[in-house]
Amino acid sequence: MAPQAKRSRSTSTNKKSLAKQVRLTDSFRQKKIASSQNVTGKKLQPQSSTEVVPPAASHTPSDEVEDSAREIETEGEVESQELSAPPEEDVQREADEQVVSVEPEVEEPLDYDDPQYRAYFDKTQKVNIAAPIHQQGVSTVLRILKNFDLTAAYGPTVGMTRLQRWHRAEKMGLKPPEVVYKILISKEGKSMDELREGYLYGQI
Amino acid sequence: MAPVASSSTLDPEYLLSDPKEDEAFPTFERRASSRELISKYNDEFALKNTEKTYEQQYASLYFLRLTVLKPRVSKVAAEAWNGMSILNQEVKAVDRVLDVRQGEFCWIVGTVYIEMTLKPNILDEITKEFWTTAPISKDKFADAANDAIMLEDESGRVNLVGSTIKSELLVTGCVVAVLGSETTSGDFDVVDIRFPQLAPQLPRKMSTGHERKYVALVSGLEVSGDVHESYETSMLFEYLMGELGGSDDSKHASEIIHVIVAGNSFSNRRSPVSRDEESLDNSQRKKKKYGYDSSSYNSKPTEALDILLADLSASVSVDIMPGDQDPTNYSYPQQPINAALVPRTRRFLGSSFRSVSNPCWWDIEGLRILGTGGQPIDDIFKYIEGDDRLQMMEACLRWQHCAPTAPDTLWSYPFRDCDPFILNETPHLFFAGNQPEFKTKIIVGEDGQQVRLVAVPKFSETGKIVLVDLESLASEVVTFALNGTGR
Repeated sequence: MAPQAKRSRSTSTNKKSLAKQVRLTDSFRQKKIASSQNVTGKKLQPQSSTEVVPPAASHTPSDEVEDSAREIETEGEVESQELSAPPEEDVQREADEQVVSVEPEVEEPLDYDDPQYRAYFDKTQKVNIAAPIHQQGVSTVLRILKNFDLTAAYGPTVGMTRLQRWHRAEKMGLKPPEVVYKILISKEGKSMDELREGYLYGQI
Repeated sequence: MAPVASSSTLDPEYLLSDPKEDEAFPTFERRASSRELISKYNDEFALKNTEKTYEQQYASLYFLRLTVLKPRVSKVAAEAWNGMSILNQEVKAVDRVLDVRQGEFCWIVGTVYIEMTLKPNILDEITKEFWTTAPISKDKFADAANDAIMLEDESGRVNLVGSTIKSELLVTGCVVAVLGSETTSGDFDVVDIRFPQLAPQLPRKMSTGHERKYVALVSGLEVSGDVHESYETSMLFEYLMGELGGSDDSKHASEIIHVIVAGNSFSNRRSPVSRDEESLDNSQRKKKKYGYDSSSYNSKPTEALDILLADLSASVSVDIMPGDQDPTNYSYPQQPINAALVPRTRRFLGSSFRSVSNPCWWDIEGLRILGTGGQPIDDIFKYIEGDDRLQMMEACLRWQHCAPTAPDTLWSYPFRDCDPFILNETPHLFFAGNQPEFKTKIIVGEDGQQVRLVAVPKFSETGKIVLVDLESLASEVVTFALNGTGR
């Protein structure tokens, strides 16, 4: 009984997301499970078919709960900040994540309807006092990426791809969001100009 | 006028007596030295042609500078000002420059930007096209009365006022923390200012040997290869090879284990051929292809320098660093001079000859050296009031940035991923070439760091080179002059 079963509209999407879970990095899967725990409000049994590789040694089940708890608290603090400040994802990162992330060789196709994108984006929008205008046709993925572009804390966006900017922010220790990274390393994220390049691409 | 070897202790009687049968003459040998480039820092200066892009803007460079230096300054500022209260109000740190409130004492961190009325402005040049005022070339563009000092970060700029800020040595591009409060007119009245101060320094490895080791710093050779080439240049090279002077001089020269030629080794004087061409009229002038006449290329400076360096490389390890007039890229950091320009010396590439970038970090026998060709210091000189080059070099170390005016007035590559001029470590020796005169001093940092600052003078003008003792960091000057030439 996957958490996605409640939200996805078809079983095929369900299977895709299950398959994807196998190939994600450990820590990201931890967060995915944690965030889905957050969403559904009940503790899940890890699916035996997907938990192929056990979590890293330092990550005990108690850490997992702690992480999710911390994630819930800190992501709720966004309302005190302006839009341009980065969301305080103070999730504790493991030691091996301090180094620059290495893209996996297999490029995943991007799931535009993945509910965690919606959830993440809604959290970042909590600081807004008004609803966004003229954004009916824009997909959540694009809105997340544009929000990443506009975050001043990660520096200027002109003249580099979003992935380069993400890597630069990570190298500086600014902790850019992993959701954005996941979108950018997908197949569409690497090939489509709309996703790969900043919002000023072609204009500046 | 024959050169006089003034430091020799040869006895005239000895010279005038008959040669002895079993005379033994001491031969001095140079010891091999370990001299390496610190690749951790030098790799950031290297710009491969295949990887260079100019699509990014310079804002990235300023962003990188502020992101790296802001925590360092904040730490120093917090140590100084946390818990302090002015007028019964506790001072607090404010994250963004625009968030200061009137009447509150707070401290902010940002990049300094100095709006200078006399600074050449591209917009002024465009308006001047319609008028006939001749441009006034000045040495300095600083005007204390009219310059506005501002502090900038990603949120915006705020004007800094107050007597404290006027008396500080500041240039555009250094990152500072200022304490003060906002006035009614929206300016920030500064009470106190803090810099990142000297970066941590690696301890010097003192060797146990008793022999002295020197590194020779030469700058501004301006070899022209003309008939009127200065005699001092050949004296210099003979001295470094141990062929000049008496046995004392040879012994001293044998203690030099490394020579750094820092900047402006090639003269940029035009060949006599091109001067005659100017008197010809249009029909007689040679057709220019691609905008320049290739037959007027003067290869004499390159050949002359090549011969000198090849001889020198056979005797001592040499590093050549480009200056602002050398045949490499003009923008800072300058890439190493291509060894193809000096084919005879190129044979020593990999053993005793090396072409390095400007600026460059060395590690010679455990001594960490940072050297520049002098461009950042010359650039800072243009935008501040004072003349003291050593004070500017010390300021660079205290700002933890060796070229703060890049990219504002010092041309620079628009770095996107890291600002390579940020000093993560304080060197033991910091030198700047092509300076007008020799100056040196030792500065001491808060954590006991000791740095020897050396302003290396231009050899073509002063005839001086600097020798720095690697053990004691003492510096001495060797002057080459012809008697009667008034130098």
